Amino acid sequence: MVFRSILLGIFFLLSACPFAQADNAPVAPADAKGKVLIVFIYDPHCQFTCDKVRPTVREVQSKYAKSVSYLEIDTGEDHAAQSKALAEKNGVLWFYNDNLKFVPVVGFFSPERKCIKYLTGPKTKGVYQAALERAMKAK
Amino acid sequence: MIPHTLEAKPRLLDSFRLSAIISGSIVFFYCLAVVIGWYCDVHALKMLFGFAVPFGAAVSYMVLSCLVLLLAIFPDRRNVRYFCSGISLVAAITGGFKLLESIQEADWDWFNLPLSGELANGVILQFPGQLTPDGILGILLVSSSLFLMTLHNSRFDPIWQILLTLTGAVALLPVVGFLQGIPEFCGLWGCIKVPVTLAASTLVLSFAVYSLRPGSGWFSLLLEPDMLGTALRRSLFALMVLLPAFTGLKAGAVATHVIDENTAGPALSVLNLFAAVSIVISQFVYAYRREQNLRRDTEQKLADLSSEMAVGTKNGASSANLVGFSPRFAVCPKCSKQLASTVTNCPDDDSVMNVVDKLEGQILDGKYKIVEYIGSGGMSTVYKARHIVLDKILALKLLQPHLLGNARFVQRFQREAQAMARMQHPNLLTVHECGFLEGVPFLLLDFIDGKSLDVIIAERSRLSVGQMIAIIMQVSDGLINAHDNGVVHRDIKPANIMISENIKGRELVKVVDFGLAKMLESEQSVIQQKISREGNSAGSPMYMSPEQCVGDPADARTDIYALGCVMYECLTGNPPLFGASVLETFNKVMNEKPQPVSSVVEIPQELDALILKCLEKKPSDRPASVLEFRAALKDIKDRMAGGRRAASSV
Repeated sequence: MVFRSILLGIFFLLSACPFAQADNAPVAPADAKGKVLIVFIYDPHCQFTCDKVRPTVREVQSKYAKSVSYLEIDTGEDHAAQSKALAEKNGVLWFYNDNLKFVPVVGFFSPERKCIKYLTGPKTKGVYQAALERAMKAK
Repeated sequence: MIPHTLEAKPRLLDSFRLSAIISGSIVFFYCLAVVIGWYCDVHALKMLFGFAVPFGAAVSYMVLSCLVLLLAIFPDRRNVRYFCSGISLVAAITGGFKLLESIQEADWDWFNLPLSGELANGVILQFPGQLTPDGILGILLVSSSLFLMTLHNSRFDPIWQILLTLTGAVALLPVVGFLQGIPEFCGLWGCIKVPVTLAASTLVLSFAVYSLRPGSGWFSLLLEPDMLGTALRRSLFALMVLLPAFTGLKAGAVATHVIDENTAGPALSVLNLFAAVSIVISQFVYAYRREQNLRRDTEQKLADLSSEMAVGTKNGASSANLVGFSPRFAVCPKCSKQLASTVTNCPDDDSVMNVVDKLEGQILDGKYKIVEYIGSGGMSTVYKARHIVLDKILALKLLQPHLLGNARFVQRFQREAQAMARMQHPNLLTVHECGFLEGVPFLLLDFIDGKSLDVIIAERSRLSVGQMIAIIMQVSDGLINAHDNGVVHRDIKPANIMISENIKGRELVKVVDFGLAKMLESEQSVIQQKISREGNSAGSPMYMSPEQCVGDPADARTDIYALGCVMYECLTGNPPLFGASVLETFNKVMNEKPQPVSSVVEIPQELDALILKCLEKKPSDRPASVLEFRAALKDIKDRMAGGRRAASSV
């Protein structure tokens, strides 16, 4: 626990530093209709935590790539209009509006676009996996 | 006629309670709007003022602000305090769990309590639900501080005040950042845009919690009438005005294109910081200058009065001898070295020092001959004096010479004279004259040829019920007169109750030492606040009431509490609550119930109940006035006398 707390403290400090961008080009599904949807809301300045969440969520989604769509929405002011349109197109505009200040946020939506679960801040892979499975079971 | 139930009029303390109510209300209504926004899915309310607040944080802050309001509106209700303690403990545990959950990067869904059904978008509003780190920390710190504060335990005061200061400082950062045009903070878990309204709510709540107990800890510095308190108050006020004003001006200048934010912004922020620092420094310099002027004025006044006194007494040969006033000192019979009167042996030759008192045998003002030294305390020295014309023995009380430079002690000495001059009662000490002797303030008081109650208790171990009632009845009579004249003694204890014999040979009890007395009438309020320092503890720890321990204002019921302590000590030989240290005594006074007197000695049940009633923690649970207390005591006395008569007739 102490080790974890120290790591967290270091992480707090590091998160203020600019890092080189990782592979974080926005991902948008070609066709998300009728599929479970994972929405990852991030900010380009939120490099440490967002970059920590992104690969985990992508990994979880990749396991069920056929039945689960994945959407990344950038809350940066430069892309506001584009992001809003993307959220609206996928039926998650309310989710984008509600959470654009709490990044990183990951939402899990049923095919009917009901929010089954949303998670604020970084979580372990198991937590994302469980949330996705819940969304997949939801009718 | 002033009613017996004296109500103190603490302006500063009342204004703090009011500010707690206002601050709590602001946070409550803001969070209420946000919560409604979440329930009704109204985006404008969820994002009130452009900043989102998580549902769980809004609910928590709404509850915490409710607790603050309850505590501010009902400060004396113990049940309300216990209720608030319980709820804030639950909130603190919730905050702790959420923090642990975040550190573990887990999702403890079992810990979330659903507060709504499934909304149209499929979301179920849960408490605490998904929270941001600033929300978690805010809930944890504010609720922990509130919980510790409601325990009313002086041992926890530094802890909750440190927690609250930390909370306020952390919350201040984004607020000041926003006001300075820095709305984004990178760090803390990827929170890019810190919700300033949540940070501001944390800040306001912290202030509200502080305002609930302004008389304790470092916050009491703000109430100090001296240089530090004045400077702190003025600096805080100036900063609170400056920062928003500057932000408004800057926004106006940017909007009207007078300046370009990107180029002039940083320079303006530095300018603002410079202005803030200058204001703080200037306030401290101003307050220091003011204190110095006050001291100079007091010294000048003392010197003027001293000169007048010297002129008035120039015919008396004694006057010349008193120049360089230092009434009592020790002289070495071998080397003639002069040292403090407390030194018993000469440090050079180890000879036994002779104590010399310049005042003994002197005639003051042509009327008062100093007979002998009686004793001295931290603040004054007392001599036995004889009025030459009236042939009356009096007590001359002189302020200790080393306190002359301190205007506060001089004023306190004068205050004692003013308090006593208001009262004329056989059970109170009468002041015959006051003035300055070679620049040293003096009081001429009744001389009591008797013993103090603490000496009597020490000699006899304990008093009988009848002896105790006889003494306390007279003390009560004196206090009723004092309270009717708007004076609360605040330092009733056995050492301040003198017992002598009157001319008929009967026991005469006098209440002495009004050095800590507080005058409650409006014309004295300013002076009183400066001297007795409203909100500060004053008195003797073992006889101090809980409200005195925490620095709350004293009223007539404070003296009633002390009377209860004195009665308890008379009957048992010990004060009701005392510890090995002052802090421990304070802690016991605040938190422990005294054992009934009947557990130590056999006394009438009604008397036992009356003593315990006087010792209640809450002033409202004690007898409302000394008059009411005296009536109850007289009933007990009469019943005891009736019982004795009935027994003897049988």
